[in-house]
Amino acid sequence: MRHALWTLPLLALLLSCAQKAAYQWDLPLGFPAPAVPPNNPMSDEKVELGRYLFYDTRLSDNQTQSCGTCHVQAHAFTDGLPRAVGSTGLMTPHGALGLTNVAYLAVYTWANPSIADLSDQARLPMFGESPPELALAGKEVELLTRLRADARYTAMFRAAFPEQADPLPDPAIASNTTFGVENVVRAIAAFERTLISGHSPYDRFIYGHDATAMSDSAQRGMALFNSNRFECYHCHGGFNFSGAVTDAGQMLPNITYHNTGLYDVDGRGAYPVGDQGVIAATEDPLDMGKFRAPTLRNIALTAPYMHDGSVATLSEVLDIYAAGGRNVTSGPNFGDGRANANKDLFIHGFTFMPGEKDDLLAFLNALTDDDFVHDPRFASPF
Amino acid sequence: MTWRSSLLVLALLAATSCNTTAAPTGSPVTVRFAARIGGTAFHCGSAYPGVGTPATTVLAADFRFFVSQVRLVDDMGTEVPVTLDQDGTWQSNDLALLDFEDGTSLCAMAGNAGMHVAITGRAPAGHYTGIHFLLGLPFAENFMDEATAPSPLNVSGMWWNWAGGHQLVRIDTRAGSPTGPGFIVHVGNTGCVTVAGVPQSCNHDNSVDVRLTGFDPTTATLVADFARIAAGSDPTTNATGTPVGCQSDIDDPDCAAIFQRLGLPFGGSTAMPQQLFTVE
Repeated sequence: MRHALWTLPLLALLLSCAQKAAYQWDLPLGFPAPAVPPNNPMSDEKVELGRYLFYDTRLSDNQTQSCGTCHVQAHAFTDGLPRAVGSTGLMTPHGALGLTNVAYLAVYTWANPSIADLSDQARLPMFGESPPELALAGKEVELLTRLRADARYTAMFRAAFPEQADPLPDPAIASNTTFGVENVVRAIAAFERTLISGHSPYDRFIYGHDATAMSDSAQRGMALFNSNRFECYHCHGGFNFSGAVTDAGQMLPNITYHNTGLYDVDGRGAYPVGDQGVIAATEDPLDMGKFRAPTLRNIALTAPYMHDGSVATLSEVLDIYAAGGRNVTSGPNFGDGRANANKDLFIHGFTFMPGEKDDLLAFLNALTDDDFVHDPRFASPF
Repeated sequence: MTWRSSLLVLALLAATSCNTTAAPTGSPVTVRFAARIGGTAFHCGSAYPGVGTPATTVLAADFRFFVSQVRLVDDMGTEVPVTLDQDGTWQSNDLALLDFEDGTSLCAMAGNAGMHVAITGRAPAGHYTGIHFLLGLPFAENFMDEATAPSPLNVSGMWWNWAGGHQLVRIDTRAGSPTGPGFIVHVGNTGCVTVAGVPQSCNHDNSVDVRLTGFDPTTATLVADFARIAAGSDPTTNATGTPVGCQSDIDDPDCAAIFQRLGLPFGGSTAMPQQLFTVE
């Protein structure tokens, strides 16, 4: 027995050179590993805790909404509304963003460059007040008290944060609330990082080398998407068909926003007051009307479109890009976005030849991943 | 514990040592590059007068290019490969990304904060008077999947699309003002055939074979000046119905003057010597 004990420190030395047991991602073919912040490593237990919290209506003040209320799996984790509605019935300025491949984003929300961590994003609907969504501002104690009253959560927090002595602490001690809420948002972020979608017909065609996976029309649409005539790939490029992505091997992330010529309310390039994009954060006139280009994966499931849900169908989206922007001919946002001086230089319009619009729509539909919207690992546990 | 057991364990420790990379050979060498527009150093957002025909002020928005297969040439004309430092970000295998933009100002759209203005590596000690490199990427590396390839092949701003691989050269400007017409040069392969998504070959491999004499890496710099390749172009106009600037399309007349000065064939014309790089 003493001999066996002797070997233990030497075994520890040996194993320290070997890799620590890493979280096992379930990555589709051709996908890199997501980047994970060092302060929030992944584990199965943390992901499971995050799934419970994501779908738990106790995370809203009046207990009517959870993250899953506006991020519905069947809609690729958006909600089918033009703009989201909070738990007190007030409409938010923007549509809820889908969560397809959210693990790969370098920055979150439609137009806020300072939200670079997924757990920071979770705080916005939880504690935001303009308008309230989950309406938890000032209610951290209530939130933690509710969670602590559930013995299942006490056990799940301990399993998710084994390095912490008391991961779901008593909020009666003021300093504990910050700590406890941070664990809540970290667990939610860990669950959200598992929402990876890469089993569409496009993926089977490209990564699975299955020449039958996409129709001829969709294949023609893919060529159009990648062409310099249409230039879709300039903003919706790469494996995620979006901008601003990063991953575990990405040393030089690029964070981009684009003005796509949807509005020009003053003839000098302005977007509607109160919803002008990145300029609200940076005060740089060149950021007027700029918003993030989200992923086109599962785009057929996430109507209506654009940051304010003002475009109802994909067909209308394509018409706007063909026109080089949108001419708003009535209402309070009257103005010709096609002439927006700050419009991205790749939004110059094009002419559809017969059949091309159908081909492009066929390709966009080929980005729908049925596995993703039915995967029980991503569904509500309640 | 017996001596034999201790030795066995020590042997096991040595065998499973974490760091097993071979020591590099040769002497360190640095190949310095500079990016300019009309003789003035490139800075994101700066204005440069006198570019193109008619002479136009352009504003800088991007300046990056891939270099691969770098060889130094000695006094006897013998070519010696430079083994690149594997830095995990800018240089991988035998290729490097040169990046003169810092992601600020007009470079924010596609750029990043990092810059890389010199290639570092090793070559046998010697006296070199010339350099030979590929401005661009060999086929296999060009078509490595951007998502999973090692940096710098996964830099999203240099990715083109599935059929075309990477942008080999990317120089972006705006004519006249920050929101003026885009006058951009994106050089990539065209006429590429893919079968079930697997790239097979390209009709037009637009990497440029560059040979320069009078280059001593210990003293000289390779200067890339955009104004030289833009000299025959009008930055304010774009042929109707063609992509913005020159994005390598064989049907785009805006590419003729630029490709000629880059040292690439275009249309029916054969390649002339490149004018992008000079030695200083």
